[in-house]
Amino acid sequence: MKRASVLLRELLVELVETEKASPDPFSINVRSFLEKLSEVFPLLRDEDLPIDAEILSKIADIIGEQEEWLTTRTSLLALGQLVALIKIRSFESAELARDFVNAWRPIVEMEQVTFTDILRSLSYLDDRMIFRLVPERSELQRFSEKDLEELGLASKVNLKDFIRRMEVRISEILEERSYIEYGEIVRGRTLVETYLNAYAVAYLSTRGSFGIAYDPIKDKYYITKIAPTKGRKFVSMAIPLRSITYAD
Amino acid sequence: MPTRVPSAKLKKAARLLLFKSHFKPGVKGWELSRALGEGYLDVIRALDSLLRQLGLRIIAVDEKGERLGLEGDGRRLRKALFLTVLDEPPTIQEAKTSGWRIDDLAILATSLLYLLSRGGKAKRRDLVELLKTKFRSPRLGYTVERLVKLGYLEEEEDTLAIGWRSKVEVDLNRLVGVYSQEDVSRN
Repeated sequence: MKRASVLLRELLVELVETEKASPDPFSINVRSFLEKLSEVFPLLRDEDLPIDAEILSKIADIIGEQEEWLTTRTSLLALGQLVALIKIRSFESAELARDFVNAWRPIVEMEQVTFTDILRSLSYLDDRMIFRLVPERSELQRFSEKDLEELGLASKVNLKDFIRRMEVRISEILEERSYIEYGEIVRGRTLVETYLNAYAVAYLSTRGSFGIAYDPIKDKYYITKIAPTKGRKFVSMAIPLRSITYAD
Repeated sequence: MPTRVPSAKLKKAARLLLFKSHFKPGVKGWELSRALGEGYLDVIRALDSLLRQLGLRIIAVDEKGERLGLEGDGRRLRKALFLTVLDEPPTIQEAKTSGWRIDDLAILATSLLYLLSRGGKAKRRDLVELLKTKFRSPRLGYTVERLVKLGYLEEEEDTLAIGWRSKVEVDLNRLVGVYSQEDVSRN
């Protein structure tokens, strides 16, 4: 049989190695170490006692770490649950949204329309009665302009007049100033009016009545006069309307 | 000084990672390896440092949504999902511009906080009842369905759980506002 001092040293090495291998204090089986130590204890001589004390001191440290880990983790868990419930009860929507956004790193993707998307859209429109593309009955039906307006398929607004009025309005302002802030013209009293204004401006600028300029530093769009320049390059641009709120 | 032009492999990696190709976002490590070759991790790391200049970053997550380092175990990374995320949180205005309503964000925040307080999952009925007491929105049912569809919440029979997308995108400790000593020293 090995000498007690050799067994003790082996036990100490095993303890130190296990401790090094993982920072988790629960990876060390304290009970097993104590049992081995109690087996060796009757064989110990006086000179072996410092090693025995060192092992015991290490085991005491590990138990201390386990206790600290448990206290922190359990209190953190309980505290986290409590804080979560308090937040739900006491925070307003805007505060909850702000807290969420601060903890949020959304995935970035580039959307594109695929053939499958188009088919899915057609199927969706077909499922909605008012947009049904294939009539249920076999005979064709004639719709009046009023019917189309009622179904929401035709606009109740006279677009031609609307666009003409918009053109006059912009021209009058541009006679006084060289440019107008896009939102100043497009912002309407309601969301629908804002969309209509944006449509009219888009139509007029595409027709060449006015120009649209973008200032990347201020992140603002402007309606401008078009100077007759040869070789002018026309580009299309998308202006997000979400940043333009309507007046009401 | 001429601007450095990204290599063909970098451009290809950017296309693969940024263009939406599946319903669930991201590209698997093995897909990237097949498209970019065995040294795909070097390409991804180079693209990551380029994207960081634009406020974006590339992350790799395992099937549970746990983040893996781009320098980590190559075998695990082959099975991991690679995604591009914002490096910093968006502003409320930016979130609104990309189609989120304040109420939708608040509903998601409340759902996640409630699920976290219940150990990650709860009965759908209980969560919806809680949301009804907090939000009077007629769009509540629709919003919850949308959050499930987007992967922020996960539906398992009659229970709702924290979805894979929330695990990937949201720092849940930060949302709750409780940090362990490890979290503090890590940050």
